[in-house]
Amino acid sequence: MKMQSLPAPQTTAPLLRVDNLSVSFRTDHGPLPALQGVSLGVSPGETLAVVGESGSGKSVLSLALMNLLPPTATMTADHLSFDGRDLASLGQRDKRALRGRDMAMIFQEPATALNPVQRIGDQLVEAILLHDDMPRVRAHTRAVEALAATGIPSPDVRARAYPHQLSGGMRQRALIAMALIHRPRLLIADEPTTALDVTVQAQILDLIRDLAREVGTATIFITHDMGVVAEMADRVAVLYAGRMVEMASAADLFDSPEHPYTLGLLGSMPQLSQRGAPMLPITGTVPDPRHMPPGCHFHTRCPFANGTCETVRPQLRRLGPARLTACHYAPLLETLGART
Amino acid sequence: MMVRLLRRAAVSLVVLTGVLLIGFLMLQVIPADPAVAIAGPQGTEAEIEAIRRHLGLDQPLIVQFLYYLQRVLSGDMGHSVINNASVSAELLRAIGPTVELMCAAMLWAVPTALALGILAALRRGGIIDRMVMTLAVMGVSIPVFWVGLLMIQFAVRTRAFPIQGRGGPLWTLDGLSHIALPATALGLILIGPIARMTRTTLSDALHADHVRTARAKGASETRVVLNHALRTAILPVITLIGLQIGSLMGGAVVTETIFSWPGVGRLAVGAIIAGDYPMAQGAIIFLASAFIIVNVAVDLLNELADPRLGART
Amino acid sequence: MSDTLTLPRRPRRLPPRLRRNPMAALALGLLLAIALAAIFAPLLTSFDPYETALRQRLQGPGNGHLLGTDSQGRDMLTRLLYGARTTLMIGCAGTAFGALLGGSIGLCAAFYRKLDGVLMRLVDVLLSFPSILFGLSLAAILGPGLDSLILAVGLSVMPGIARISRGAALSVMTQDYIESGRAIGLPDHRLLTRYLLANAYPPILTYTTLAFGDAILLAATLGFLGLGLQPPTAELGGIAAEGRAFLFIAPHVSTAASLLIFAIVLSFNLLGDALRDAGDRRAQ
Repeated sequence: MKMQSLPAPQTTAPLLRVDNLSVSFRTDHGPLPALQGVSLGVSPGETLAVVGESGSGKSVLSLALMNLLPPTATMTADHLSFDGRDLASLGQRDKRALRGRDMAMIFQEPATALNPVQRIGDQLVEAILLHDDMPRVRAHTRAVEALAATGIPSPDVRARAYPHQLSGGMRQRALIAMALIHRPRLLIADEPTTALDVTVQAQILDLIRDLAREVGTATIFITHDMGVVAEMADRVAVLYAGRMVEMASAADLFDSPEHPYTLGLLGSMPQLSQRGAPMLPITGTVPDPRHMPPGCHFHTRCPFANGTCETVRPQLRRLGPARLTACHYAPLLETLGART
Repeated sequence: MMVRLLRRAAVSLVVLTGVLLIGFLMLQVIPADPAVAIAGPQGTEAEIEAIRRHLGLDQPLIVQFLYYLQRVLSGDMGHSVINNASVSAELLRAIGPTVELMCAAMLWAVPTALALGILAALRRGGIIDRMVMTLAVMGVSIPVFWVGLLMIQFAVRTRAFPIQGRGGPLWTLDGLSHIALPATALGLILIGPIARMTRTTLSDALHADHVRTARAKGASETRVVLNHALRTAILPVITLIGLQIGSLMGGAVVTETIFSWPGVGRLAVGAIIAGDYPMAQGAIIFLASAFIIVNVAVDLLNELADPRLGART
Repeated sequence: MSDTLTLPRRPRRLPPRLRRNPMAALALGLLLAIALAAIFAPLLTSFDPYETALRQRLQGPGNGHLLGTDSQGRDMLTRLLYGARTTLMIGCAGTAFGALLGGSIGLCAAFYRKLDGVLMRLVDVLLSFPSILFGLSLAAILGPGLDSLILAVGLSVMPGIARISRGAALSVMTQDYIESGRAIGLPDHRLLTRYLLANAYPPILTYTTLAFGDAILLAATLGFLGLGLQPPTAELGGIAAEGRAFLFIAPHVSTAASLLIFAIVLSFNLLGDALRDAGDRRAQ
């Protein structure tokens, strides 16, 4: 477990920084906000986990950072930079040059994320040749090597296979090989194990962590699974209903969650809840983004909510050097202690 | 994959036999007794009886059908009752022009329809999109013969194109100018359905996960559309083109008649109207069999184009 | 026990969404107008569709004849009205025949699962078969005329209706009341009609309406080719073919007949698209 790892040093210049990012979708029934005012940064080599339920906006965040939002989405940000370069000032061509070479992505559904009518090897070769000029034969050799590095057995045979001929785990390995082939500075992994068998999940997590460390890439890890967070993350950002509600080092977060929602997420994880944190499974579902409750968006599901929560929206507050939370009652344990 | 193809082939064989049975029945309705016709006005009763036995006409129908099958398979489809020409010889002469016309129609219509469909999918709700959707519903509603008649009126007024018959070989100006109008009229049938299908499948494919992966790799938009989205979207379109061969063939019958194109369709229509049963029978079973065989070929092509189909059995 | 046998009433009327779709509403209005004009043709025109007046042949519109006259001097409007009457009648009869045949095949395929494979393979082959070939074959066997035309139209709409019927019937077959009907020992023909057909008919009916446009187009095309009713019978495809000989001196004969066919078929297709869209939206 990486529970004891120190909070990531925020002093080094972040590789990726985004301030006040908002995304909304055009729909037939008016704009649908998906992300509101999210700010975060990732340092080189660091792993940041972004946690939340489905509908929290975490996948939208990953697509926004990759500049892969569908045309129906509108995105605004005060600042968005990668490696010191302002992404807003880059043209499509330059952004494309970054994509796949400096920032890469692994997707949730390996079954559909690969082109069904193209051989695995050809898909890797394409990824190589898009950013590197080399003879096709050499690109193919490199593709097979990359597959081998992910632990796929007989990679030269698999390279000639079509996606439907591989297992889910192998497909995800192929996607990981493809994402890391240019040793990107930033890897965004959007729930890479959700669609896989439990037995394969751990292997894939290890693979991502090992390869990311070897390549020295920073990772943004999108997940809803606190177990995965504990396994992978240096720092954690918790999203709820399109807003960030908590940001802390992984150690701090598991030690003393400061937002009731985080507490609830931990509560749904059996082995962690035994360690003294109160069992608080979250009831209800994420509110409809078009009919957000006033005040704190979480108050309809929060066991501690009172009148203030129903009217006043809590802002993100700094509780420590690398610790933010958006709850009126933070620090939570003190408040709870005072109440009882 | 083999099993399914074989099963398809078996079904097609059954249908093919059915087609031949219909062709055989067509010959049964000939009002005149062929034996009497062959014997001529001077033929005696005994001679007629001998010819009848020689032709197998005294046998039960099912045996006669088997004889018929044997004759057709050996390329003998009888002779015209109008001018005594060999049906197979006439058919052989008409196949070329029909194939030529259908190919020419597809040659311009399929790429045009694909291009329209792609443009419509890229700009949903744009001018081309609306045009494609309008064209699609107009195209299946307009009588092919009217398109032909309008073109003839246009051609005569502008004196731009010949309106009757087939010219020299296609690589000559004469050949091209003769085929231009019928091929245009026939091709119009295909534009709507193919463009509409391309639009639908491509706009779905543009939102597919693997297309997003391609974007994430840093592929250019052109590459994303042509190499990834279109490559999966094209498969149902290929199937549709295969299915359209039927309506293309039907359209060819009409276009050939209007433009006096010397193909199988015109042969068939002319023979039916003239009451030339052997010729009609020959042309119809030829068209039907050709359709069935082409369909099996299209199926095979589909299997080859989609690697996913190969895995299933 | 008895209440399990009462068939659930499902008010699956055609969705009244046409108001939202002005094109479809227009199409419906046009169709109604054409149908009414065709039915009441004898009341609408004082001319006779078959009485020739060679002195007045091939006149343009105006001059006592709203749409001019044809090559025999007959009033074009009258010919068109009677022609539409014939064409619509052939379409109706052919579609009805095809619906009967296709419906029976579809229901039987769903009901007798052993027949399913054979029946549906056959239907699949016929589905993409060039419908003009049906017309050619039947005209060759029976001779060009009304019965070969109706049979050809029926055969061409049959496969589509068979597919839809089978689909609709298969979903009904999963319902409990079929089992209970069987349990009380109802004979097959009763189960097929009172249970299966009574519950599966709405989509079949919708599709049959849609097939009507194709039926008209086929009937008119066969008529144009001379494989349908013979002159002087007023039939739209035939009128267009008659006008072909005088295309350059009197284009209005062919054009008017073709335009009328086009209008009818287009209206049906627009209506069909609207119904399908409404159905899709409801299904979501």
